[in-house]
Amino acid sequence: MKTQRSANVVSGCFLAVLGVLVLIASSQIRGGMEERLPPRTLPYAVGATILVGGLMLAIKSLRPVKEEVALKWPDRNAIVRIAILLMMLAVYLLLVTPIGFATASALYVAFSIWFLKRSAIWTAIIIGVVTGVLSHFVFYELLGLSLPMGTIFFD
Amino acid sequence: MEFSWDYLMQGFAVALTWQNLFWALFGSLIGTLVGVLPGIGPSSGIAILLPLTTFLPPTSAIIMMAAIYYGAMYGGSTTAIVVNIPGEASSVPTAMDGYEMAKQGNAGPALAIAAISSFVAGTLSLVGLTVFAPLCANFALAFGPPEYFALMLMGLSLVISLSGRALLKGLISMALGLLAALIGQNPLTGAARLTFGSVDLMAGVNFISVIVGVFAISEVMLNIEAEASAISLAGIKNLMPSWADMKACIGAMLRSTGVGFFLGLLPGCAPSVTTFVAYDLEKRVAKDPSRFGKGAIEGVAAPEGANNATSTAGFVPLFSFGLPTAPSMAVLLGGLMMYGLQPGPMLFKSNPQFVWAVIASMYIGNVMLLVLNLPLVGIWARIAIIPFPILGPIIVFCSVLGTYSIRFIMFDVWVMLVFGLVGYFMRKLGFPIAPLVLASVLAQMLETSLQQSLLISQGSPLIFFTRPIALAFMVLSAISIVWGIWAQAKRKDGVIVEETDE
Repeated sequence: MKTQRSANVVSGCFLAVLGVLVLIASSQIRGGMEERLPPRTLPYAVGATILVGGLMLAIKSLRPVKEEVALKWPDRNAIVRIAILLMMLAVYLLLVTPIGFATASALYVAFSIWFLKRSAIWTAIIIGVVTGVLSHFVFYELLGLSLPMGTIFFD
Repeated sequence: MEFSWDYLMQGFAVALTWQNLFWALFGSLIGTLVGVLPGIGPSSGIAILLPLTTFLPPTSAIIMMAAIYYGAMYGGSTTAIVVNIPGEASSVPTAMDGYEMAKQGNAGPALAIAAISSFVAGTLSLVGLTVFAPLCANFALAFGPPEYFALMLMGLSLVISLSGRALLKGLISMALGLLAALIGQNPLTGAARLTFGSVDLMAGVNFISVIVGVFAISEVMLNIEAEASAISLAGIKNLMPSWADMKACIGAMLRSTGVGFFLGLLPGCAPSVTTFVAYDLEKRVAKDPSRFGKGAIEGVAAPEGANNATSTAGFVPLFSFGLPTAPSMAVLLGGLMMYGLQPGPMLFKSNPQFVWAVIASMYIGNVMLLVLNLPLVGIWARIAIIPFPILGPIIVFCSVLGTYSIRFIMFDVWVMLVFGLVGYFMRKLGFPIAPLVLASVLAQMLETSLQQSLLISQGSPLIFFTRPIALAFMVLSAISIVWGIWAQAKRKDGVIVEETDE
């Protein structure tokens, strides 16, 4: 997928497959046909739009063009950076329930800042702690948001 | 029901008490901060802060919540212009030209013109709200489900036609937004759709998760990819727009006020629709439409004016009929009901002191916001000058908190993460994300009004073509799409061209 045209072909095919999956899933929706707008109608229409739209995009992009437009994809380092940050985010979300929103947020913010800017370790620690404290005292205590407190500590 | 000076003056007397002035100022400040903070839009901002108001008397509480709402509308432009993160769909058109101006070193004038346009449109539409509120209620009463459906269809078709040369991708993007919104229960029958037996999916995909994901999370990913040390540092030096800029924007401000206010009276016509309509209108009346998307200052003034005009106009159906026109209005409605106030025609009769005090406080709040925003625009914008390695994780934290606080389920946060990835790839592959967002917001109302219309017509779709107002909206939808196709064909030049509007 180095050029816009090849990316269109691939994404068009992907969308066509998604459209087919939506159509299959829509056929399994239960609901009475006696209704004026049966529950399957809109999902069918959306699935068909994605399928036809995807196919049209792929077919239209198969034609050669005068000038290929290059797509800017991340290099290897950037991919690693994004992947690690996403993993950290996923771990953060997984930790919210067991260790609590405030603690998980403090750890996530501190580690992410440290990861993105190694020289700012103290900044990372301070902002992490401030985030955790604010989460707890402002959002949980003051505003009364029912943020998870952590099953490890409170169960 | 008619406008009465006596009621308005009584409203000012209540709004000008020290206590209410303080809460209006506090709400304006918090609202601006909510608008400025990437990842937290007015809906989640008000939702987060709603519990804070419980210790206040109802009038002060609603004055504060309203101030948070229109304060966030003022502040929302800042991140759209400076960091290209529109916290709400309504800020997308602002980002189109505002961010381009910021990249050219003109973030200051863009931010200032956004504040001035917001003030002008906000004040003019407040006059409209004051004078026409009781009368406009009668007009909106004539709207039934077919008109609502046709209106929302027009909003969607306008957004697709705005996808420019990527019309097909705009259509697919809209379908993906509808697909996300269809997951869960049918709004009328309660039948499960596309849930695959999952209990989490039964609750449906919250559109806040979609908005925050495709805007905030994907933006963070793009900045991490670029190893951005800071986002758009340049151009926050010259804060005031030139006289030429002001002159160029006066027409845009007035037109966008008209568009924003009158469309904003109609339920379903949220700022996310009217800002696009106002932007589109400016593009059409401009002598050189090709400047739009490349840093045209009218492209900032128009959506910001429409945004504030619509926000103010949204109070008309809210107060008159209890109908929220936008997600933020729905949260405000929840706030009113929390205090035992049932918005509707009776509100003007049974609680005139309350309703006119809130309206009067909005005049005061509007002045406060201009005074706060113009000199402090640089300070607000400095939030975006925080180095990205620090700002990025904070954006993610705010996004997680904002998304979680809507329904207090972690599933919504995971959905936000998924849509962050979807948004990232859509941006990379040249798919416009605005149609996806708008479709996910409007889908439920669109579907409900379609179902209700078909119930009324006993299944006949002709109902959309036999009622004059609905027919007018349907014709406008068709014109918009045909115009989009024509514009695409005209620009084709034998080369398949793609757009990168986001």
